[in-house]
Amino acid sequence: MKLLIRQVEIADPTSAFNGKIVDVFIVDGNYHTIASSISTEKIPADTQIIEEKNCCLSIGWMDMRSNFREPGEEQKETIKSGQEAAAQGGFTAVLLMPSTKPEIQTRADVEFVMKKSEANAVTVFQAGALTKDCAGKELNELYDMQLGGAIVFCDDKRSIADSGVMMRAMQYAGNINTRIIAYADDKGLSRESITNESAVTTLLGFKGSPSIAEEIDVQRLVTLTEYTGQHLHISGVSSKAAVEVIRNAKARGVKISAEVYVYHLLLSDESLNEFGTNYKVKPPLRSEVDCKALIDAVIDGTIDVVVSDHSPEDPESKVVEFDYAAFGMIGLESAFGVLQKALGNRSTPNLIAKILSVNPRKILGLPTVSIQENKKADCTLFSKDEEWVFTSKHIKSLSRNTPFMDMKFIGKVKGIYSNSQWVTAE
Amino acid sequence: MSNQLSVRHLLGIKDLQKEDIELIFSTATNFKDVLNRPIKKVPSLRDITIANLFFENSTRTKLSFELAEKRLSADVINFSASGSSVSKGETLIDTVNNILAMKVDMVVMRHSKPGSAIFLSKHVHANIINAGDGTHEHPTQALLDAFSIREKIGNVEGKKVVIVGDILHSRVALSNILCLQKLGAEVMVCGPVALIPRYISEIGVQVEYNLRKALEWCDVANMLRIQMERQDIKYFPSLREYVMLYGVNKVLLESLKKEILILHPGPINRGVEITSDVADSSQSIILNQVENGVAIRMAVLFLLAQTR
Repeated sequence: MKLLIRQVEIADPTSAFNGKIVDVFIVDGNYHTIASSISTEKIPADTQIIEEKNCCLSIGWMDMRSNFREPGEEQKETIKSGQEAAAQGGFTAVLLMPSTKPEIQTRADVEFVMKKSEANAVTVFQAGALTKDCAGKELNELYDMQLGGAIVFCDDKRSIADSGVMMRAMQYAGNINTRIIAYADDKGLSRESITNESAVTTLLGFKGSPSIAEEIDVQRLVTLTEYTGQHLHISGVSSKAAVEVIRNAKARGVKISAEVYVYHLLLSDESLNEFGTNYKVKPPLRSEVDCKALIDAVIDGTIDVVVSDHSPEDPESKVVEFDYAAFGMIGLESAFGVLQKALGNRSTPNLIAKILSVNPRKILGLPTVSIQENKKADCTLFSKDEEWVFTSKHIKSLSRNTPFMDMKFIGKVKGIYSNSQWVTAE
Repeated sequence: MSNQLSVRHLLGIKDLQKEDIELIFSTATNFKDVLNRPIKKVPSLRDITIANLFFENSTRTKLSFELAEKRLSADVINFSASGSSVSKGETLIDTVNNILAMKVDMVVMRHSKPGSAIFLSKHVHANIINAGDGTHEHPTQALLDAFSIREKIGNVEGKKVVIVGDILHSRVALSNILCLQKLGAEVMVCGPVALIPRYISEIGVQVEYNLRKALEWCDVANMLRIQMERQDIKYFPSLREYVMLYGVNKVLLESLKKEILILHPGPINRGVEITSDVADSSQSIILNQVENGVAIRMAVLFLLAQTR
C-alpha cells in the first residue's frame, strides 16, 4: 500500500528529521520519501493521504508489559483482540507476559503465540516464564524457549524470594545472551496485602503493604546485579524510595533499567475511597508523593520505560468484593492519554519516543526503528493537543475493566503504520 | 434538629454527620424507654421485612439486631453463610438479590472483607446496614459505645478515650475513633507496636504504647478483644506476655489517681484484656453496652426505614 502523511512533526531522536515538520511517503512497508513538502503530482493516484492538524509521527511505540489472556482465558482477551487494542493505543509492538493459563514456559507455548500473532500490524514479542509455573524454584528451559522466539524471561509479578535461584537465573540468562525482568516485592513484608500502607487505607480497614517491601527487594536486586555483572530490568516501580535506590545504583554504574506502570503516574491510593475494584492493582496505588517522584524519575531518565500493564479481566473477576477481585486494569487504549495527563506540559515528543520506543527496544535487545528514507516504516501518529473523552468506543479489548471511562485526555493517538499496514485509531 | 438521617444506608461512621449521630442517640433514648416498659414492642416497622445476612460468625451482634427488629415488629429472616449457596460459589450480589426477590426491604450484613457493605449498596436496592465488614467498620458498635459513655458520664465532647489492644485487626477501633472524633472526644490508641497501624496518628489519633500512661491520660478505656482468629501471623510471643503488658487488672486500676470507665465490645477473654474483677466492677459498663446495643439498633433501623 501507499500512504502519504502530510505535515507531521517527526519524533525520532536518531533521525535527521527529528523535530522537523515534513511530509512522509510510505510505499509497501518502507519510507520512500521524507521531505518538507511532497507534491501530490509526484505520488500515485491510489495513495492514501492522511492530513491531521498538529500531529507528531513517532517511531513506533512498544508496550513492554501486556497480558493477552490466550491461552486459557480467551473470554477476557485473545491475541487478536489484544493486538487490536494495542493498535488503538498507538503500539506497533507489545511484549506479552508469560502468566497465561497455563504459563508460557516451553518452546511449544512460545511458538503457539508467535503463530497466532502473525500477519498483524502489531508485532507480538513473548516473555517466557523464568521458573516452572512462575513459582520461583526451578529454572525453565530458557534457551529452548529463546529458539522458539522468546526474547526475555520473567515470572511476571512474582518476586523470586530465593536469592540463590535469582542469581543463577541471571547468570544463565547472561550465558545465552538474554535478559531477565524482575518484580520487586519482599513477601515477608507485603504479606497478602492488597493496598498500600497509608493513612488512607487505614481508614478503609486495610493492613496495607509498606513501600519498603518494594524498596528492600529493589536493593537486593541491585546487589545481585552488581554481583553477577548482568543486566536486570526492574518492573513495576511504584514508590519514591525504590526510585531513589535505582537512581543511586545507576549513578554507580550498575546495569539496571526500570519501568513504571502508567497508572502509577496518575493515580494514588486516594482513588480507593469507594473500594472500586478497577483501582485494585499490583503493586498497589501509593501516595501522591510517590506519583510525583515517579514522574520526576521518568523525566530525568531514572525510569527508562513506561508500560500499560494491560490486564484484561471479566466482570466475574471484578464485580465482587474488593478482596476477591482480580488485580489490574486494561491499559493499552488509554495509556497515551494517561501518560500525557500525568506528564502535563513536561511531555515532549522526544520524551515520548524515548520511553515508549527507543528504551524498550534497547533494553530488550531489539533492532532500533528509525524514520529515514529506505528504512522499514514502523511509526505512531499522534496529536499533541487534541482533547477527547475516553469512552467504550475506544476500547478494542474484550474486557472493560478500566477506571478511566469518561475521563478527558489531551493528546490522542491517530493511528499506526507497521508491517505494511495502516490502522486508524478510533 | 432534622428528624431524618442524611444517609440511606448505614455503611460506616465515616458517612455520618454529627447531627445524624445526635438523631440516632435521641431516637435510641426513646426506644430504651420502650425496652424498659412491661410491653417492650412497638409497631413502627410493621410490614417491613429485614434480612440478617451473616457471612461471618457472630453471636451478640446478630442477637442484638434480631431482637431490635422484633421489638420494632419487623418481619425477620436470618441467613448465615455456612451451608448456604455462598459455599456453592454464588456471588454476593446474586445471593442478596435472590433474597431481595422475596420482597425484603432492609439488609443487615456482616462480612469478613472490608468494603463489602459499600459494594453491596452500589448493586442492590434495599437499605443496607453494615454489621461489621472485616477490619473496616462496625458502625452500630461505635454508636452504642458512644451512647453508653454519654449515658454514664453525661457527655462525650472533651472526654479522653483510649482504645486498647489489637487496633490493626479491629473494625470496632476504626468506627469508634471516627464516632468519638465527630462527637468532640480526644482519642488515643494503645497496644503493641505491631498491632497499631503505622499511619493512624495521621487521622488525628494519639498513640501510646505504655498502658499505664494511657490509662493515666484517659477518662474512658475501651478494651478490645485480641482477635486471634484474624491474626495470620504471630504479632507477639504469647498471650501471657500480652497480659503482662496490656492486660487491665484491679491493682492497676486502683493505682490510678482517678476512676475511669471501662468498656469492652465483647466477647471478653477474661484474664486477657481485663481480669474478672475489673469486668465485674462498678467501673465496667459492659452490660450497659449490650443493653444499649438493642436500643441503638432499633433507632438505626427505624430511622433508615423512614428514608425509604
